Amino acid sequence: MWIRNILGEALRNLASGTAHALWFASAWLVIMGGVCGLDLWELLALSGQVTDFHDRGGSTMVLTAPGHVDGVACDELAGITGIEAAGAIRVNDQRVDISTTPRSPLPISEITAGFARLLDFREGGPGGLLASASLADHYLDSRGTISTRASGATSVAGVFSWPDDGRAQGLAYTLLSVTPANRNFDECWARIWPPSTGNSDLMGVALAGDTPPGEAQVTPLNTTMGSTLDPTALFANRRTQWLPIAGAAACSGIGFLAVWLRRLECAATLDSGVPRLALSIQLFVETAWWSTLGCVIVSGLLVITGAQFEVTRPDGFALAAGWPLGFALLMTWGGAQAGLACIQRRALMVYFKHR
Amino acid sequence: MRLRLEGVGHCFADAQWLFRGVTADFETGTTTAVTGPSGSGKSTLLALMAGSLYAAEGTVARQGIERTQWVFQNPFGVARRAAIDHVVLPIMAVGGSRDQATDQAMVLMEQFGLASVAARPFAQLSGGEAQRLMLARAVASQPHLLLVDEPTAQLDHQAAVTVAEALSSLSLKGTIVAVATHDPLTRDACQSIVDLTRYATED
Ligand SMILES: Nc1ncnc2c1ncn2[C@@H]1O[C@H](COP(=O)(O)OP(=O)(O)O)[C@@H](O)[C@H]1O
Ligand SMILES: [Mg+2]
Repeated sequence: MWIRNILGEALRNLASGTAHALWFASAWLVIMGGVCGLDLWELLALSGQVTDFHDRGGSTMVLTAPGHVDGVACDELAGITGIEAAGAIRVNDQRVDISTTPRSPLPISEITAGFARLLDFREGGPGGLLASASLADHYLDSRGTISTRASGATSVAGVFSWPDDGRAQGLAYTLLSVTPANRNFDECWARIWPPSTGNSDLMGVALAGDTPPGEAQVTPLNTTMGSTLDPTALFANRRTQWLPIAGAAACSGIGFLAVWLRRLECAATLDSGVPRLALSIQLFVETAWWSTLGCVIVSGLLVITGAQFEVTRPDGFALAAGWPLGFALLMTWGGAQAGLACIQRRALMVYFKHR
Repeated sequence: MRLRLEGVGHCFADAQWLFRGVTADFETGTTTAVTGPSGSGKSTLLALMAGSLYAAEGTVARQGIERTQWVFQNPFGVARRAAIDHVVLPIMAVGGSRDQATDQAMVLMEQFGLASVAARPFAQLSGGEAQRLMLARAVASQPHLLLVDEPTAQLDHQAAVTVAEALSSLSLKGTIVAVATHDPLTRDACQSIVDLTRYATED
């Protein structure tokens, strides 16, 4: 049978509604749209969880060694790939009296420039102090300064947000002043991303040479987030990880069904002398048509919805839509061929005999 | 091409004989009716002729018969495809363009009185038209042996007449045609008769 004529038969079956292309395209759309939608939903939820871990300080590690942290070495940790920012802080007993309030004086801590970068503060006036948003609410005047009893108005260089979300709250009630790094500090902070125990261990290089063994200790800034998070494992072991497989299995089922429901027609076609290979090609074209139609619509919907969300993991979207759709397509075609394999010319005889 | 039955008898498992001693010659260009009441073994005899069943006794000699085509009492077609498509398919199956196949199919459609409904979807054909289409499709594949089983059993009289006419006008140079029927109209449309009541056994 000529290939043109095989294609012609396929087109006639599609155009006449014999192949039920729209029904099967819809079924495909519902199954794979559901699969990809749920998977994307789960990925977005996980990516939110991952972003949260990052933003709430779950991956910010604090090396504590009072008086033994080398400020320069600590700032330099930020140069390591996998460490976003790093800096040192000295938590001393220094305090400033605020002139506008009769309350007790505020503690003031000295930090390195690297530490200031770690805070992502909102820029204020030049030089001076950094204050948490809650301190700024209370003490910042309209000129962007805090009046201290000792030195008058002190300008505030920046305000950083420090929500009470489980992270250590010390900075919320402490003014920070940037000082040169070339001396010893009490703590070295590093925001490690993606989370890596290797990079936490590396933080030891920020210790001064004279540190007594066992003096230093590394803890997360926010202990309520758990001590580690492995985004790769989290994505790979997500609840919906088997959903694409199940979806592909369902698609192979509808591929099979699409042919099996027409088994008498197929048996009659074989009985008409059409070679099995020709019928196989014809059914492939028909199946490919409606499954690809479904696939294109699902992809379109995913592109539209996916564009509205920010998926932190760059390949998160591909994970949701790429291979599962391709795999489902292949399985659909395989299902259709399996359907044909189950049909014999004899089916016609058996069918009429039992009527 | 020849098909010869010699002393053929058949029974299923340990049931009684359906018929014994059937001797008959079937030739190309001739349409033979296989008659007898329901249950007398007409379909069974056709199956023996097709070679899909082995005779319990006697010999079935088939010479040069490679392609066998059946037409059953219930016409089966593709509901939404045009009538003529059913006839075009077996012609295209052996090669050649659709246009050529369509021309050939149209000749057959005319021969079976189907020219006016050629473009109609199968689902909209009457019972008689559908059955004649089945005959046209079977003829289109140029079988060596054409076995037609009760083609008019499901049809009203008027439709049966048209099918019988189609059968009587069949004169296929390269095809042996056998028609199982208990309908006198159909029987009379054939050129020779094998009457199974003559071969029934009494035990
Ligand atoms: N495969 C079979 N196995 C057992 N009995 C059968 C089989 N096919 C037909 N029969 C029996 O043989 C008898 C003749 O059947 P059949 O040839 O179909 O008769 P007819 O076509 O003349 O109506 C019936 O009683 C039927 O039940
Ligand atoms: Mg019968």
